[in-house]
Amino acid sequence: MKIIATLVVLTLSLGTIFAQNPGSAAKKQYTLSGYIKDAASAEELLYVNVWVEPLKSGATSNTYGFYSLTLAPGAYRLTFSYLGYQNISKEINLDRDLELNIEMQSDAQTLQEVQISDKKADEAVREVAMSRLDVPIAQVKKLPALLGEPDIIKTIQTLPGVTSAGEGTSSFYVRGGAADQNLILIDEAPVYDVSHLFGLFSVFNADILKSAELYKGGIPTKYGGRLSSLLEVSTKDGNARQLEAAGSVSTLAAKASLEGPIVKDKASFILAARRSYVDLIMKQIPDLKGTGVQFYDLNGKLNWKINNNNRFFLSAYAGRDIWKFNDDFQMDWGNKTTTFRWNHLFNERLFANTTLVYSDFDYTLEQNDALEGFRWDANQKEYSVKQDFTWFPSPKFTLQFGYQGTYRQFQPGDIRPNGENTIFKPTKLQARYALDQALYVGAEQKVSERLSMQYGVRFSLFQHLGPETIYTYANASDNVNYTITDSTRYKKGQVIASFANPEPRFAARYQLNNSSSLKFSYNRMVQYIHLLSNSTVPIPFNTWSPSSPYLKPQKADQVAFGYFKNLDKNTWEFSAEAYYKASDNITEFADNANIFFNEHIATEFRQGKSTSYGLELLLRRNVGDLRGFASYTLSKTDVTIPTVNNGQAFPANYDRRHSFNLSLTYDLSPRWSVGGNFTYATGRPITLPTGKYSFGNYEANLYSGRNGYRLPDFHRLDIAATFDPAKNKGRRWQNTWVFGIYNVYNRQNPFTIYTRTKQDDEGNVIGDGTEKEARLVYLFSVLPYVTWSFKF
Amino acid sequence: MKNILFALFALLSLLACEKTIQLDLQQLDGVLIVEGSVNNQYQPQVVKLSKSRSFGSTGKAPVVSGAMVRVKDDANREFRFVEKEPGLYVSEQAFAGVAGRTYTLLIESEGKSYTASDKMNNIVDYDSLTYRLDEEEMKDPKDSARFYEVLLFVKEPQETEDFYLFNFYRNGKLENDEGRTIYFSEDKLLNGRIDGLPFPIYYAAQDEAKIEILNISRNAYKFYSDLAANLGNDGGMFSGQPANVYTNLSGGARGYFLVAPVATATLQVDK
Repeated sequence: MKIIATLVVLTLSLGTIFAQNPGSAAKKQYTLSGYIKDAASAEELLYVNVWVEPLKSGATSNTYGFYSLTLAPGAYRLTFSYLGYQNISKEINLDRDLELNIEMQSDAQTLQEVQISDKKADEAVREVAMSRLDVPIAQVKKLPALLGEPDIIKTIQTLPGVTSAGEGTSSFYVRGGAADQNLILIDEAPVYDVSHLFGLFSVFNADILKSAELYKGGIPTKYGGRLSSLLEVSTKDGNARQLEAAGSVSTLAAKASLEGPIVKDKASFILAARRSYVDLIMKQIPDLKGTGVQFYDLNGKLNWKINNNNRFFLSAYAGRDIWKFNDDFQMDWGNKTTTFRWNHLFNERLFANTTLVYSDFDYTLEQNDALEGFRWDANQKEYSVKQDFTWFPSPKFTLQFGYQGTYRQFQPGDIRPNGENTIFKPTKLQARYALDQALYVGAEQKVSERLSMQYGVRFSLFQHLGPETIYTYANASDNVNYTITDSTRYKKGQVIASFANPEPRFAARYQLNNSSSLKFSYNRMVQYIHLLSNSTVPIPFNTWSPSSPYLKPQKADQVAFGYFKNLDKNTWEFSAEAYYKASDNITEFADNANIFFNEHIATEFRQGKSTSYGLELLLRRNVGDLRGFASYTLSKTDVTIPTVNNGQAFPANYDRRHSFNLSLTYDLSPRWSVGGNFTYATGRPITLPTGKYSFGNYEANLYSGRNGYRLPDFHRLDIAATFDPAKNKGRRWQNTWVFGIYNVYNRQNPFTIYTRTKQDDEGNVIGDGTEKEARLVYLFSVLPYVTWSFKF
Repeated sequence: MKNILFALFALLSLLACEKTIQLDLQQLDGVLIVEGSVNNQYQPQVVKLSKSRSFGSTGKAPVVSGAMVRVKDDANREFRFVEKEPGLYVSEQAFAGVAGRTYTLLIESEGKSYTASDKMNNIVDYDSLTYRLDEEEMKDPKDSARFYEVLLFVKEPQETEDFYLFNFYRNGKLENDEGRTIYFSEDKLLNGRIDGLPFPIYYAAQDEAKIEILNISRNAYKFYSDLAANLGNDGGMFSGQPANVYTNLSGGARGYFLVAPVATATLQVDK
C-alpha cells in the first residue's frame, strides 16, 4: 500500500512538472491531442497513424487510442490511417491547444465499396519498431482452424521467427527462445498457461479480442521479465453505442458474448463465455460415466470514461480445464487475472496510466481412494502495480518512463491425503516469495526526416524473499547423493538473494525513400522467474521458481537488422529481418530430473548458454479482396549446458531449420469468402536410442547424444469457406457459417516417436520380449468442421 | 506424477494414431552391462555381465565371458566370483550382506576395469498379507478366475529416509507387466502405516502370492526411477528428454550393482 501512496504523490507532482511548456522560452507551441475510436462501437483504436502535412511527420496512437502532437501554430492537414479502416483527413488551424477526437469507419461496415486509398498504412516502413507483428484478428476468424475454433496462438505459430513443437500444442518458440521465455499478457495481466486440452486450443477466445501484438525483438523498455518475446493481447472495450449480442457454435465449443453501453458513450461493458462440450457428449455414453473433459473461459470488462482526462477500466479473466476419469481421478487447472487501470491526462502532453494487476495460476490433482486418495494443489500468484507516463514535449520527441513492482508467491506443491485409511501423510513443499521491481525510461526521437531512434534503459531489481529455509549442499549439482551441510532460516520479507540488471534497448529506422526503410535494434532482456519443465511442451503441472542462490537470472542480448519495403502503393508489405541472439544462464535440468514435488530441486538445475540466429522474410497483403501473408524463416539454435550431453552443444528441442507458411483469405463475393493455410517446417530434433541393453526383464534404451535426430518434415494444408447468408446493411441480425477441412491431403504429420517392447495391436508381446520397436505418433487426420455464429 | 504423465499421453493417444516405423540409427560398439546384486540372504550372490546391442537387434543380449569379478566390503572382506555359466558369475562362497556395510564390485574384462558401490540398508519390517475377493473384478475379470486381491500391511519407519523396490510373484513367476512396469517408491509422502495396500495383480483361487520388498539406497532408487522414465518416455514431448539411466558403475559400463536386503512374504489364496 505504501508503494501505491508514494506513486500517487509522485504522479501528482509529475503532473505539475510536465505541464510546463518545454518550448515556452523559445517559440510558442500548441498541442493537438485526442482519442481515436471505431465509429460503430466507440472501441478505441491502437497504433493509428497520424500524418501531418506539410511537416511530413506524424505520430501513432498509443495502446489506449490516445495521440498527442505538439506543433508550432499554423495550418495543417492531418491524415488518420489504420489497417482495415477508411482514411480520414482533417484540415486544422492550430492557434491554441486543440482536442480532436476521431471516429473511423471500418472497411467491413462499408463492404467492398471502398476504393483502396493510395495513402494506406505504410507504418511497417515508417515506424521505428521492428520485429513486431500484429495478428489480424478478423482474418484469423476467416482462416481454417482446428475443429472450427479460431485461435490466435495457432496463427502466431505460423509467423516468421516463431516455431511450434508440433500441431495440437499451444506453446510457441520465438527466435530460438524456450516456451517460458514469452511474456503473454491479456489486458496487461500475465497468463502463465495459455493451453486448453493440453494445447489443442489456447485460452484466448477470438470473439472478444481487440488486438494481439507479438514483439520478437526491439521490446520497449516498458516491458521486461522474459527473454524472447512479448505477446500483448487486448480485449474489446464493449460497444458504447448500442447493445450487441453474439454467439457461435463450433464442432468443439459454444461461445456467447454481450456488450453494450451502461451510459451511452461514457461507460460500457462486455461479457463473454466459452465452453467446450466434449463432456456433455461423453455423458451420453454409458461406458464413460464419470469421465469428462471440459474447459471454459469467462471474460468481463467494464469501461468508464468520465471525461477525456480520466478513464477507468476493470478487466477480468478466468478459465479452467477440468478432466475427470471414472469419478476417481480429477485434474483441473486454470488462470485468473484481474486488471484495474486508470488513464489520466494531466494535460495534452502528459499521459499517465496507473495499473493494478493480479494474476493467479493453479492446478489440482485429486484421487479418490480410501488408501491412495490425495489432493495435490500448486499455485502461483502475483500482485503488480505499474505507473507509466508518456510525455509528448514535441512531435520529434516522446518520452516514456515509469515504475513497476510485482510481489510473487509460488506454492510448488501441497499434498493432503483424503482417504480414510490413507497411506500418505500431509506434505507441503516450501512456498517461495519474490519482489520484482523495475524503473524504466525510453525515448523516441525523430533525428531527421529520415532517421528516427528509440533508446532507453530498464533497471530491474529482483529479490528472492523469505520466509524460506535455504539448504547448503556439499555439491549442489549432485542430484543423487546430495549432502546437506547447512541450512539457513530466512524470516518473512528477509532478502535471500538479490539481482540487479540494467537492460539497455536501442532501435533506429532510416528511411531510404517513401516506400522503404532500414532498421536496426538491440536489446538486452533479463528473466528472473523460471519454468520448471524438462519436456519440449510444458504441461499445466509445471510450476515456476524465482531466481535464487541456486538459479541465476537468464539474460539475452539480441541484435536485429531489417529491410522494409512497401510495394504497389502500400498494398503489399515486404520485410526481411536477420537476428543474432546470445543467451546466458538458460535454465535446463539434469538428465531424468525429478521436477515434480522435489524439495531439493536446486540439485537438478543446470544452466548454460544458447545462441540462435536466423533470417525471416515476410510478404503480406492487408487490403483488398485477397489478404494474407507468406513467410519463410531460416534459423538455427544451439544450446550448451555443462554436464548435459557431455557438455557438447546440441540443437534446441524446437530448432527447425526451415519453415514456410502461407495464409490467405479471398473475398469471392459479399457473401462468400475462402481461406487457406499451408505450413511446412523441418522436423523437430528428437533424441533416439543408439542401442539397448537388458537388465532383468527390462530392455532399456541407450542414448549417445541429445537431439541427434530429426522427425520427418511437417506439412499440412487447411481450407475454409465463410458464408454470410444475408448481409443486409439495414439488418442487425447477422449470421455466418464457416465450413472447413483441416489437413486436406491427410498428411500423417509426426508428433513424436517413442519406443516400446515389440507387440501386436492388442498389446501382446511378440517374441521373447527383448525386441523393441519405434512408434511414430501423428495427431490429426483429415478433419472437417462447421461453425455457425451470429450477431445482433 | 509419472503415472499421470503416462495417462495423459495415453489420453492424447485417443486422438492420435500411431504406426511402427523403421529407424535408421547410428550403430555403436557394445558397452559392458552389469546386473549384480548382494542381498541379506546367506546364499551365493550373482553378477551377470552382458553387452548392449543395436536397437533393432533380436534375441538375447550377448554375454561377456572371461571376466574377473570380485566383491569387497568396507571391513576388508573379499568375495571371489566364478563364471558358472557364460556371463553368469556366482560367488565362490555363500555370504549374506550386512546392514550398514558398503559393498564394492570390481570387474576386469577385456583389459578394462569397472567398479561400483552400494550400501546395505535395514530390512523392511512387514506385518502381514491378507486376501479378499474383488467383486467388481469378479463381474468382469481381465483374466478369467483371477479376482482375488492380495493386501499388504507394513510399517514405514518415519525417522529414516527410505526407498523401496517391490517384486510381485504369482505362483513363483515374477509379474511386472512383461517388463513394462517397475514398482518402486520413496517414503517422503508415506505415513507410518500401510494398511491393506492391494497388489497390482489379481490371483485365482489356490494361487500362491509372493511379494519381495527391497529397502534400496537413494542411488538405487535413482536407477529404478530413471529406468522407468527410460521405458515410458514419449519422445520428450510431455515427458522429460529421453536420457540414459543412472548407473553406479564407473569405467563406462551401464547397469547397476544393487545391494539391498529382501523381505519376502507369501500367501496362499486358500479358497
